[in-house]
Formats: sequence, C-alpha cells, structure tokens
Amino acid sequence: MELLKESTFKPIIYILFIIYLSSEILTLYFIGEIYHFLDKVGIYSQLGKVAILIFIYLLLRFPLGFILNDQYKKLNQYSKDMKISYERYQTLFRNPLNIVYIVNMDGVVVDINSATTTILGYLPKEVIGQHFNMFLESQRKDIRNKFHNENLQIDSESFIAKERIKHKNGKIIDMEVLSIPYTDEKGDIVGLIGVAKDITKESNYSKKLEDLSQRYKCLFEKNPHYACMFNKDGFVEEVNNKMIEDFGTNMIGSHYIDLLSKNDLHRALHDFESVRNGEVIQGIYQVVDKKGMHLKVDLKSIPIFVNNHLEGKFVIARDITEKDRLEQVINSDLDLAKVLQESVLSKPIRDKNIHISGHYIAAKHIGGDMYAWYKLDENRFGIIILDVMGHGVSSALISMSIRSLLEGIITKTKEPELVIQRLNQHMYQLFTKNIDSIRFFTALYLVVDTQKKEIEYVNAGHPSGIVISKNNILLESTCTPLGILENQKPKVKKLPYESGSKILLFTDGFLEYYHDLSINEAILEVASTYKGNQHLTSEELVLEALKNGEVTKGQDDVSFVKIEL
Amino acid sequence: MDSMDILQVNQEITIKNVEQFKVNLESLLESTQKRYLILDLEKVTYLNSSALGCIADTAMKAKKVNKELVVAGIKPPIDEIFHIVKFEFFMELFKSKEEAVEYFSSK
Repeated sequence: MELLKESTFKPIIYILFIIYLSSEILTLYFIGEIYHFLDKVGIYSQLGKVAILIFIYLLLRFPLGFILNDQYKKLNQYSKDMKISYERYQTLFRNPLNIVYIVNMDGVVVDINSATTTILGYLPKEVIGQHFNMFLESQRKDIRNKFHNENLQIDSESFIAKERIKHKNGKIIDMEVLSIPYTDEKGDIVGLIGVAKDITKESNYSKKLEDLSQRYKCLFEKNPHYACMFNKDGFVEEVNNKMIEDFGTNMIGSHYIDLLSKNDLHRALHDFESVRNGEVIQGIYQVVDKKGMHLKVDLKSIPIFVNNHLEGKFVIARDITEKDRLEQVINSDLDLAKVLQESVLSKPIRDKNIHISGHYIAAKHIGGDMYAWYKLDENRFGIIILDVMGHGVSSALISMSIRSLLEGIITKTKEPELVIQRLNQHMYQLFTKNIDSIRFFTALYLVVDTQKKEIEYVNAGHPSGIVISKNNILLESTCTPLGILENQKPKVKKLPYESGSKILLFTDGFLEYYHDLSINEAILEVASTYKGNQHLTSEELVLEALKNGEVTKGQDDVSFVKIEL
Repeated sequence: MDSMDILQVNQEITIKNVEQFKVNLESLLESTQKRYLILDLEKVTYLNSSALGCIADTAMKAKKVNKELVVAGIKPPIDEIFHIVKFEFFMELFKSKEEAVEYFSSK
C-alpha cells in the first residue's frame, strides 16, 4: 500500500516545478534574443521594443502556464482522492469486530488488522509473512483453490465461505469469510482481501435451531396421534403420517370444517374464533375419515403466534372412539351395579315405636357405603351403617361382600360386640390376611330396644352418630375400624333414651360438605339442620343439608340414616 | 437419630395423591435399614380413609420385620380423625416430631 502514500507524489511536484522554472528561463532567453533581433532589424524605440517583448512573452508564457497549472490541479485532486481512499482503507482495516487481511497469490499474509489479536489470539506481527494455512483446520496449497471451492458466489469474483479457523490456543472457531480478489493496475489478480467474521454464536444458534427443527419434525410426523397445522383461515397446511394414514393424502389445502361431522360445525366455528383470539381449546369432536367412518377424537387446538401475529393453529387429536365405546359399556355395567347396590339397602321400617329410614348417594356410580337394619325380635332392632375405605368398584365389592353376611350375623348374634367381632374376623381373613394389604371399614352398629328404651352401640372408627333429645348425645368411636387387627376387642356402650328422641347416623362423605367445621362441629350442625326440618324425609334432609355445602377434597359416598323413636 | 428415618408430608392427602403417599410409605419401610420410622403429618390438614389404610398397613408390616412406625404431628384438625379411628390401639401417636424422636431415643 506504499503506492498510496502522499510522499509518493512529491517528486512529481518537483519535476513539474523544474519544468515550470525551465520554461521561465527559456522564455527570458528568447526575449533577450528577440531584443537583439529588434536592434538588428532597426527598431530602436525603447517603448516599441518593450511593447513587442511583452506581447511575445505573453504569447509564449500563457499556454505553457495554463497547461502546467491544469496538470498540477489534476495531480493535486488525485492526491486528495488517494488520501481519502487511504483513510477509508485504514478505517476498514481498524474494524475491531472482523479480521481484515491481505494475502498474496502464494497464500502469504501481507497485512492483517489488530482484530486478529482479540479473535484469534495472534499479534499482527506474528502473522504477517506467514502462510494463511496456519489458520486453517484443513490445509490448502494456495489461494487459487479458494476461488473454486466456495459455498456461495456473491458476484463474478467475490465469495463468502464458512471456514473453521484455528485460534492460537488450538480451539476451532467458525468464521464467515468474505474474499475479494486484489488486483493490480492491469486488472490481474495479485492477491486476496479477506474479511473474516466470528460466527461461533450464530453457528451454535443455527445448530440448536436445526436440532429443534429435527425434534419438532419427529414429534409432529411420528406422533401416534393426529397432528395438523392450519393457517389462520382454517385451511390445512401440514399433516402428520397418522393423519395421512387415516384421512388420505388430499387433506392439504382443505378446510377444517370439511373434516368434521355436521353436528359439530357450529361449535367448531365458535371454538376456531376462540383460538384466533389466543385461547387453547380442548374438546371432543366427531370427524369423518377417508372411509367415511365417524371417529370420536379428543383434540386440542393451540394458536400459533409469531411476533404477536396469528399464523394459524396447531391441532393434536387423539382417537378415542374405542375408548369411548368401552367406557359406555363400563358405565352401563356400573349403572346396573348401582341399581343392584341400592336394591340391597334396607327399606324404611315404620313400626309403632320406631321409624327407620335412610338415603344413599354414590360418589361414582357405586361406592363403599352401606346401611342395613333388621328386626331382631318384637322390641329390638339391629341397625348398622358402614363405610369401606377408598372409593369405586373395589370398595363396592367389599361392601357387597359384607352385606351378604350382615343379616346372618346380626339376626343370629345377640351381643353387639360379637357382631362387630365376627365382621372384623370376616374382613381380616378375607382381605388383610389373604392379600397382605390392609382393607378396612368403619361401622357404627346399634341395637335399639324399644321396650327398655335403651340403646346399645359399638362404634368401630366411624364418625359419631348423634342422639337428639333434650340434650344431644354423641355415639363416639370405641374401637379401631374393622379389618386392621386380627383380634378386635370392641367396647359396647349402653344408654337410655326418651320417646321422641331421634338418632342420626352418617358417613364421612356427608360430613365433608361441612368442610369449614371440625367433624364433631359438623355433626352438631347436621343435628341443627334436622331440628329445623323434622317434617322432611331422609332423602329431603340429605338434599337440604347438602345444598349449601361444597365438597373440596374429592367427592365421597354420602349415607344418612334417621331413626325416630 | 441414627436409627430413625422420617417421612414428612407437606400437603393434604386426597384421592389425587394417595397412591404417591402409599409409594412413599412403602419406600420408607423398605429402602432403609433404620428400625424406627416416623411419619410426620404436622403440615397435613386432611387425609382420607385410604391414607389411613396405608398408615395402618405400613405400621403392621413394620412390626413383622421388627421395625416400628409412629405418627407425629397429631394436632388439629387431623387429631380428630385419629381420635375416631383409634390407631393408638396398635401404634404410637405423637403431637410433634420431637416427642416421637424422644420416644425412640429412650428405647
């Protein structure tokens, strides 16, 4: 780049000055000769001579002066232009973010800027004069190859390529290199100007993006459920393999309403608007497959926003046709089981000295609650309410198993503690001992003697019953639930009652509706509700008590027994 | 403390998490060589009947392998439930973890 320096132009200016000076001397020489010539031709007037000489001087001097002056101005302008170019080159070279370098045709670095220190760890002086191969992971013989193996041609002569460049510490840095041929005044390529940019971060982002894209592709294409991309107008843009398999290949470009059963169209339009407003919508829809079969799908529509603009929606749908059919079968069976379970609950007794009634609400079709009563003799009635731990089918089966034994045990066993012991034995032998896992039930069993006006009861871990008379009396728990211990030693309690007294029994599912109260507070609240609504039946009382309540822990079976004495 | 292991439960036990509670109790019993096991229910405000079944089951199984499970944190509101089911007939119940630790320490 020495050619571009200002000092290069000084000799030219000197030469021009010498030419100018010489021309002045020659002019004066000629004027001297003409002066003598005028004497020879007989012109002696000094004024005439001076006038003639000034005329001749001007005739000789001005054209040359103009020519030289014009050349000087041009040279001066050229010098300024070159100075600007040099400053621009220096500015480009001072770029701290990119490595700017020049290599000759042999691949030797001629010049390089200071960014090489921050990016590659080398001082410029360590690099200038070295072959550019020192930077390259894969060696290259000379730069001519560089013009034949690049990734992208940006015009006829310049290229952008991605290179793996070695840092001084050996670490490889991904760089994007812009290579521009460096030509001499004849236009021949004499080297290469390069601008190299560190793109490690971009490469990492790019790789992560590629990985994400690959994962998305796997998730989308190989998803076992239907996956589909719609544009913002509801037209299919992309579908996965599962959709092609069941809905054919002609789906791209079709509208979502073409896929749905006619019955779902109104809801689908409404849901689509919600998705356009940014909501995620889940719902069960019927769709028609390529064979014209109606499938039931559980689908989720997710709006896709890019830069806060709705691009479309992503829909993933699970075929629940078979599951739905099986559920219907199971529900049908459960409905039947519910009828059977309710059919074994004791019917109300209306005797002259005692009225017994109950009401039961299963949490899910069927449950583990049970109540039953039997007339033991003319004046004695055995009444039991029980609650098998857990919920659903297994609890209901245990409950029914106990129910099958109740009548035999209660009617043939006089003492309440023996009734409880035999039930405990049954539960322990059948479940706890055999399946090595405790299953238990709580029970409150009481025997009412209407002649003696006396109540005997055993409460095996069950919420207290309540006797409502002048004073409320709680029938509190006296032993553990049944099925836990092999040998149960139930404690029987006995208390008298007055005519007109009422006894209320319930399971904990009923008390859960009073979740702000403790168990005993809830029992007293039930008694209070009863006192204000004594004309109501058991069913009406339960509904009255439950109507203001709210279950927060997960709904349990509800059982209620009312004994009017 | 070296011979004790403590399982602390920090939330109510309902139908939604009772299976996990059962797994945690089984793990407490089976994965430790420690003989004395404390179930700390101090932060539990509710537990359902299935959870009670799990506790009773674990307590009984612990006895079979010469271990002992006790329940700590029997305070309102859950003390009422334990009062009803009379678990004190077959296992020790304590108001606080410290009482349970002291019980085992004195053994």
